[in-house]
Amino acid sequence: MNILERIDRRILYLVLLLAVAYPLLRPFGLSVKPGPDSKQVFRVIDELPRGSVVMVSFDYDPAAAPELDPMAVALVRLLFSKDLRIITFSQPGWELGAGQADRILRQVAVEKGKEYGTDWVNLGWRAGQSAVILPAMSEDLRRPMNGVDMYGQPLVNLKLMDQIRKLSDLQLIVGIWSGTPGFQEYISFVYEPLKIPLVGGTTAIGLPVAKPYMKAGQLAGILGGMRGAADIEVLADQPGRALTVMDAQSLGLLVILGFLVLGNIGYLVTRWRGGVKG
Amino acid sequence: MQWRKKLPILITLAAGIFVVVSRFVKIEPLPTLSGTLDEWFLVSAAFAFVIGMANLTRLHLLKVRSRGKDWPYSLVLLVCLYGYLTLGLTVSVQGPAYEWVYRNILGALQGAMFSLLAFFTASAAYRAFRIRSAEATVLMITAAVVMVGNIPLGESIAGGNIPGLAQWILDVPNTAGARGILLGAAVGALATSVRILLGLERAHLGGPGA
Repeated sequence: MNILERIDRRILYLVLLLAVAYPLLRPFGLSVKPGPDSKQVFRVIDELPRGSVVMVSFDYDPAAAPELDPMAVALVRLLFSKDLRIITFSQPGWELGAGQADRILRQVAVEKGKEYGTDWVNLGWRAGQSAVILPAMSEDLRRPMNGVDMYGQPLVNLKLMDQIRKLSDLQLIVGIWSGTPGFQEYISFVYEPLKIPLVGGTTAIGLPVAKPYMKAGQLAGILGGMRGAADIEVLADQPGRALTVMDAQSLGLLVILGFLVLGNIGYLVTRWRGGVKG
Repeated sequence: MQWRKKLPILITLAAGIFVVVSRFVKIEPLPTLSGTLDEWFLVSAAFAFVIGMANLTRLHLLKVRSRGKDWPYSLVLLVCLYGYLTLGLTVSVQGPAYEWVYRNILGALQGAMFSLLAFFTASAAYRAFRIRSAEATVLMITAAVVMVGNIPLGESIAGGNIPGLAQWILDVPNTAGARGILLGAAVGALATSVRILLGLERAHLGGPGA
């Protein structure tokens, strides 16, 4: 077997680590050209009238946060920049998503001068199944939440909730999804019965599964992983962490490609030598 | 003892058919009763957490007491479980201590675990993507095109053609394949649901021979 075919995995790990770490410390500032899917997400948000109320569903936990937090921050920044108001929620199974929402909304609300209760509300998370919770929220938003927000404040005391009684009062749902439950639950239990437009983003690995739903028109737009977040930062003209990380992702993927090429050269050489001997 | 087997199946059948019918027939009292059933479910689901926590505590306490295999991990689990619970109840989820633990311990640990996937994926790709056959060659070229098409450096090197090709691969062959899988899974889920409602599938009831 050729040496190129059996490079020690520790060497591969080290090279990959260096390739990812170096651009994080010294970014190259590569230019990002947004793709058509990201432009579609931006267009849907951009066309909403000022003051519209949007639900942002934080359906991920800290495991996916390194990939999805930049997307969540970019989307929340964009929504607040357009003077849209936000209600956050996490589907059953994503109890830690409510914590992600709390952290990100607090950070961006301070940046944009937005106030809790007027410009944004965190509904938190409820135990159960999306098949039960989402249809119940379609009838009455307060009942499945037991009438309180994530912090135990009565929803009747929050000004934003005066206008929002049920899901159909929302103008858009934006999801940040990293698995199940995710966009499929929103399509089945919210989009299909109520036809509320649905956009969002997934981890890069979730993008191929989301594509058929976008082609069918059930998802109005979808972002994939860090690249999707970087695209939104470019379109919104609000550079953030995703654009910095794109350099690291670029170099990391090129290293993987390089190892693929080396492995295959080694494989071809071995086969050729075997053929000569045979 | 026949009723012990039949009663859960009858409850599943009655509740299942009721919920399915109430989705399509919006005549009172079906919607109201369906809403009540939903509330019962939410209460049960919340209570299941308490039962789960009690069971977890019992199992790991027994392990710690008997000094079973890897018992220190059980101790860590119990300390984390009750420590974080106490923190949440005393300083609230808005407290700085709760936030600190969430961000610097839970977030860092889970993020690190997930990040390891990048290294495992790279290693697996290096060992598996060999052009041994025509199919393997197509797979490798497709993977390479999609990777290059999704990174700015790739765009700079390869120009606009590779991103366009990557987008086409995702939009057309990928969508076609994913649709086939999704439709197959949906038909399978439907068949399993009918089997559960009819009592032919009993795994959800638990126990031997369920």
